[in-house]
Amino acid sequence: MLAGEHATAETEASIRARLGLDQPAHLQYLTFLSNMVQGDFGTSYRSRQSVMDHIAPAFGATLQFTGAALMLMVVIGIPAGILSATRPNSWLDRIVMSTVLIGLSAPIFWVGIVLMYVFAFRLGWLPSGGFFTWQGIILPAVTLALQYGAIVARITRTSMLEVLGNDYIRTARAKGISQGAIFYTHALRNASLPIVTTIGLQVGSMLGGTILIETVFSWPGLGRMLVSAILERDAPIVQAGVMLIAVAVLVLNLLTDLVYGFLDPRVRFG
Amino acid sequence: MATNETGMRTRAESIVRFRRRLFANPLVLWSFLVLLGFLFIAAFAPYITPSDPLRGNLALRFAPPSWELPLGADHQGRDMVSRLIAGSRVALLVGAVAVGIGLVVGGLLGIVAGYFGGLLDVVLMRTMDIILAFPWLLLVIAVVSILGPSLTNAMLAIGITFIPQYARLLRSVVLTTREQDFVQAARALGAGTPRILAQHIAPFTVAQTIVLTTISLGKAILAEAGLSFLGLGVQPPTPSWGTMIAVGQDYLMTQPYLSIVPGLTVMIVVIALNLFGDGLRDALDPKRSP
Repeated sequence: MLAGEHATAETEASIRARLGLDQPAHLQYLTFLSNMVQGDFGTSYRSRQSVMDHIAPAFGATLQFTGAALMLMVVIGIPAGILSATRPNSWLDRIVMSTVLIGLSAPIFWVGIVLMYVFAFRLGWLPSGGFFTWQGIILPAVTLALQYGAIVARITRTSMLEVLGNDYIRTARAKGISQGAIFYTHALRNASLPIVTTIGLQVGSMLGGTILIETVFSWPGLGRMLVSAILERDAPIVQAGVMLIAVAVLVLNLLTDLVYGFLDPRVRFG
Repeated sequence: MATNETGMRTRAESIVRFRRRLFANPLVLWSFLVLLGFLFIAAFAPYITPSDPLRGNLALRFAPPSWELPLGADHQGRDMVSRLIAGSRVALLVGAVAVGIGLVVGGLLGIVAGYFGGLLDVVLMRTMDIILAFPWLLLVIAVVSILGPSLTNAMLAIGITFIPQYARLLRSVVLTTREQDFVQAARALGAGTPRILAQHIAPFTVAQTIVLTTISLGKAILAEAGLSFLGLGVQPPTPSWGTMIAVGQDYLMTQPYLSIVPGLTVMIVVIALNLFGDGLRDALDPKRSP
């Protein structure tokens, strides 16, 4: 396929030999495994450059905007959920919950397109894409944060409401502790475990969501590289990209587990 | 409370009560109507499209919305209304088949793991954990990259991501039901394993399975749109809402409705599925029974 339609049998054979595709499948796999654990993901079928040279900058770009989105998600999602929980069924709660429903139900890439249309094309406030100016990161990060922030807001609201129904909250109220102190010292700390779990799980899923958003905003990250590598059948890049994201998810899950220990003194690692 | 002589509610009575509880929230009623409309349009798509969704008229290229073309025409002069209608069929097909795969495969695995337990349970459920640990889109993309992009492979790939959720749900229901007295009684009476599973345990899984299926259908429709948006799902010229959004993005500056309208359609259907699923869960929850 790489050689083109009019390739001779010899050209094809030589390309196969160069890429190691003339070996039996199980040998190819063993070679792949042993190279991978040594940090060598092979060379791209297309560019003939080392896969690491492709992936390292792309991974950096993805981390940059996922990090920005993660910050937004926490900064917007948790306060929105707390506000909702302070006055259930108020108009504020309804606005937050409707936004949550839309965030969960709208195709994330389409939200990106709508934001791009409004803020880049209509209002002209922000660039529609582009990696090299700091404004370029705003729209992709906001898009990603909207969807995952919605999930965080919902779990924050649910777990706050649950904690607020406990007896010790009533005791605190009876002792005359102010509303604000009850919320932040008594309720939020106890409600934080499910919130942290959700954030940890969502960051993994966010790395998947970046694939769509990077395509919308032409962000030179891992997701967009992965999609074009699949369409071009550049297997080494696909393998390395999938592997890298999977490892990142594992590390994040481990970090989430470690954070439990700080939040809940009852959790001990043995 | 309406009861008959035995003090038990009749079947008809409990259906009426269930319906009243389900539609007590007007949003649930509205989402039910939206879903009925969606099902109708998807089922009869070939008969109700005003014009051919595949063949365009280049003279109508980028025709703005008008009486004849309420949503205008796309870059090949194809009627957007007809393409949206045809796209509903693809969305429903992918959603139903993908969720079906998850339900059948995941459900069977969950029931087997829960009923037999032991090493089999450990192996099956740890495998499910591994699948769940992957971001779903990455998993779908990995499967598509091996099988190649097409409608069938999209359904298969999306279906795989639903297997662990059904396996977990059904396993937990089976685990709680297995030790109940009536199951022990059935076993004492000599009922075989298949009979116990089908007649005594399966009925308890129905309610929660219906709720999970409604919400999964929404996720599957979003997944199909996303995959097709990336060019890894339904291939042109077959109309898919995701592909329409992708094509529309190229003309966002001048014809924004070309991508905004298909996205709105996806959102409305998925909102309806989510609201209806929430409504079903509340109505089926025995703890909230009045």
